[in-house]
Amino acid sequence: MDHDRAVAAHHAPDSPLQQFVSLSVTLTGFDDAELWGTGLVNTYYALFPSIVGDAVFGDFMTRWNYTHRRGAGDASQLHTLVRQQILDDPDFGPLARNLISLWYTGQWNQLPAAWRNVHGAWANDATFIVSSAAYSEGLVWKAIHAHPIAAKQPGYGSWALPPDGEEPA
Amino acid sequence: MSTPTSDIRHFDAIVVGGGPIGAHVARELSNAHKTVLLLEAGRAGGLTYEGYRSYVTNFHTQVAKDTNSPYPANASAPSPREIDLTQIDPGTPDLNGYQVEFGPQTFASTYLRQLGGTTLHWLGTTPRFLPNDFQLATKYGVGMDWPVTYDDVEPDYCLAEWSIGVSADRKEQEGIGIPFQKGYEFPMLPIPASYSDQVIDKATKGLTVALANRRYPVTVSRLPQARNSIPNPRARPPKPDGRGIDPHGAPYRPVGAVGNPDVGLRCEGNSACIPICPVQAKYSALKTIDKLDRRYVTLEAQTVVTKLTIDDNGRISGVEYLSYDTEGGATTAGRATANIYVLAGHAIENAKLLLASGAANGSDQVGRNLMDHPFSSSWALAPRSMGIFRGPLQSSGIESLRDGEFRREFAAFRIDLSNVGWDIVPDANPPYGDVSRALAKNMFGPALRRHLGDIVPRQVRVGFDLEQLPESQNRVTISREFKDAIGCYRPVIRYGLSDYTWQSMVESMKVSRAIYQRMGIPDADQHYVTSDATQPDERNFRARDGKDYLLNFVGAGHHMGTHRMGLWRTNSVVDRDQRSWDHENLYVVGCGSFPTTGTANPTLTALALALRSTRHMLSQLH
Ligand SMILES: Cc1cc2nc3c(=O)[nH]c(=O)nc-3n(C[C@H](O)[C@H](O)[C@H](O)COP(=O)(O)OP(=O)(O)OC[C@H]3O[C@@H](n4cnc5c(N)ncnc54)[C@H](O)[C@@H]3O)c2cc1C
Ligand code: SF4
Repeated sequence: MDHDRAVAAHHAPDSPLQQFVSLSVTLTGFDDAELWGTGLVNTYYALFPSIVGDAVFGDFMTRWNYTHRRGAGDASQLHTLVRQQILDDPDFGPLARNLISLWYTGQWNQLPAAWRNVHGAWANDATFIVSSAAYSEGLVWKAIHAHPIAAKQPGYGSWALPPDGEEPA
Repeated sequence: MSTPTSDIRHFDAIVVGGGPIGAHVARELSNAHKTVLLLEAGRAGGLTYEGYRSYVTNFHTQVAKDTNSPYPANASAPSPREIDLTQIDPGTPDLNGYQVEFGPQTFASTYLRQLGGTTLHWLGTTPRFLPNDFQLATKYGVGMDWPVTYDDVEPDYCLAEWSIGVSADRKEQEGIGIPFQKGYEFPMLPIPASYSDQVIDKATKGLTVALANRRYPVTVSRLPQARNSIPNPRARPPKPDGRGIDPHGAPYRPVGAVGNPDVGLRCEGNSACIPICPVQAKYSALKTIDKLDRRYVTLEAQTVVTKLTIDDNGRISGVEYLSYDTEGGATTAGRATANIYVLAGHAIENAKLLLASGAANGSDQVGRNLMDHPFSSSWALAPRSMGIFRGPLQSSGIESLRDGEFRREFAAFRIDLSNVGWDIVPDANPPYGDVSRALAKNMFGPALRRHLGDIVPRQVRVGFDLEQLPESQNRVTISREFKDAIGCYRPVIRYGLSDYTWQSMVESMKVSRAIYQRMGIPDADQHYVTSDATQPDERNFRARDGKDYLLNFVGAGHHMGTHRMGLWRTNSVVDRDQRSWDHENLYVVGCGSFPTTGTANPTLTALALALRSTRHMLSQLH
């Protein structure tokens, strides 16, 4: 019972995890089923604070919650707010771009020097690819209608077919 | 460091190097029941399926995905890497990495020292040379003739194609000027042309270009590739000497992954042929090594041959080597002897070893005439999706400009069509570079997703493998100053291109422009050269039309010429059987034996020459 309750709380609409997912959905342009489908939600949710610390990560999520609430129900308003409140912000912009990079490529990029001057240099903040799975699940491959190089091979001769939406040559 | 005599082992043959060439020599000799010691400088990790898969996982997690990135670095048998290459300041050698480079141009090609050799990361494109490629001096008054003709080598081409498993269509190859013996068929049907190949093929129907005042057709054809496709049910194997077809032989059976033979029986479109085929549908020398008859072949990896010793009669009397347990760790010296010695350690390493031994250099040609296929490219954005990042890195080429009267004036070229867009365009790094550039513009959400889905699939790249003439100042040497962690010589390289090749780069732009115009790509979306200090090789060149062009190129990984074969001992290192003129029991084999480069990727030709040479070796051993 305790366990079930814990899982339910974890996944409650306003739980920190769900807020992380909704931020990810907004930043990536992929829906939550697609993100859960990568199997990496929990990995990235744990990774972020392990690199920049709980406090910085907490501030980032607080800013998102505030932005999210103000833009609720109006997509174009939310879009403008995300740009102003998050991407253009010197503290949160680099974190948001790193979150997009994680989802799109499986790669954490070392935060820019200007950011590190303000927030400190974190030991784990180096450029690296999180795992083989993170590489293979990179959303960029879906965005470009392809498969990750050296993984999820589409099968013999598939490359001769027209891509979606094109006529045979 | 002396070795007790009782430890010295004697074999019929010692083969240095476990790449494709050494593996084939070892196979032919051992099939004739000769004892062979096969010495390999690198590790043998790829011989188990799990070992090989670990390289794939390693590749996934490497940030820099260059050609050697899947394979663990090895300080005891280092290899050159692209990430070490820089532009060379005149007068200052570039000491980065393994190769020492004196310029004027950077020699920007790599190889891999690990069991399987450079075929672990090669692309696997396997065209034959054209008959005229063997007779450049006679036909066009440039370069040098080979001591063998196309007809001499043709039977061994057939054997080589059946040995490594080539997918191609005979008729299509005949169409580009390749003759075949009667009844011959490639073992497997051609790999299908990619959608982007088909788009370019359709757009260029009937297109011709003028080169040195004559018009030549621009014709797209499917590449011969050492990559598994569907076996050709009508094909029968060549006879054991390559002359004639064995009508009772069985059709070809594709060879799967080492240690897991049901995997990799077809190319599955991983788009990763360079630097690693995850399923081993692409040929690598591991497949040949795996099947060696171990009753006759002793394979010793982690053993770097350092020297050949020579007796008073000028015969090679032994090899000296250093073996190691851990990379960069302590070494143990050893020595072994044989009746014949075969160097198959790659064009650069063969030359180094000969120079370090004071061997085979009566002509002063060892290490000289270093050549590659300098590779220049153009790139563009097509009006519609080309469906890229699917299939092998390349599946078609334009082979119709590989020969012609223009070769009197400038280099011929083989054109390849990329299935992965702007793969080697400076700084493009698709699709990762596209993500970074979009993020730098603060794109996010559905707009980011749409943007990437729009621009990346439209990328087109056309690449030119250019011919290069033999020139004695382009060379690899050794020097006491430059040694690696275990005290072996690092290659010291001097390299540049002559106007013969630079002019051809200018001509190649015309061809690209003609193709892009046919595809309806506006000028603004066509790109030729970007001025970029991170590019190793770049130069301003005044072309024949009096105009200045900024040009650059990268290496193709096709090292040739460093121990060239010839008709005379005065100007070549080995004879037509790849036997040293100076030491009757020494053979030096591989692309280093090529007198000129032609435009075809070299490995198939090197394999054919090696198979030919093994017959000569066996005649010595009988
Ligand atoms: C990126 C890239 C793509 C390529 N694509 C193609 C292609 O599509 N088609 C094509 O035809 N060619 C291609 N090539 C070239 C091809 O890989 C080589 O021509 C081929 O591998 C040469 O075979 P080799 O056996 O002579 O040398 P290698 O394959 O380099 O093998 C030599 C072996 O000798 C060992 N060795 C070296 N020194 C010593 C020593 N001192 N003692 C003991 N062992 C030693 C090495 O460890 C290695 O295992 C490509 C090359 C590169 C870099
Ligand atoms: S496309 Fe994929 S499966 Fe085919 S050879 Fe290349 S890497 Fe191997």
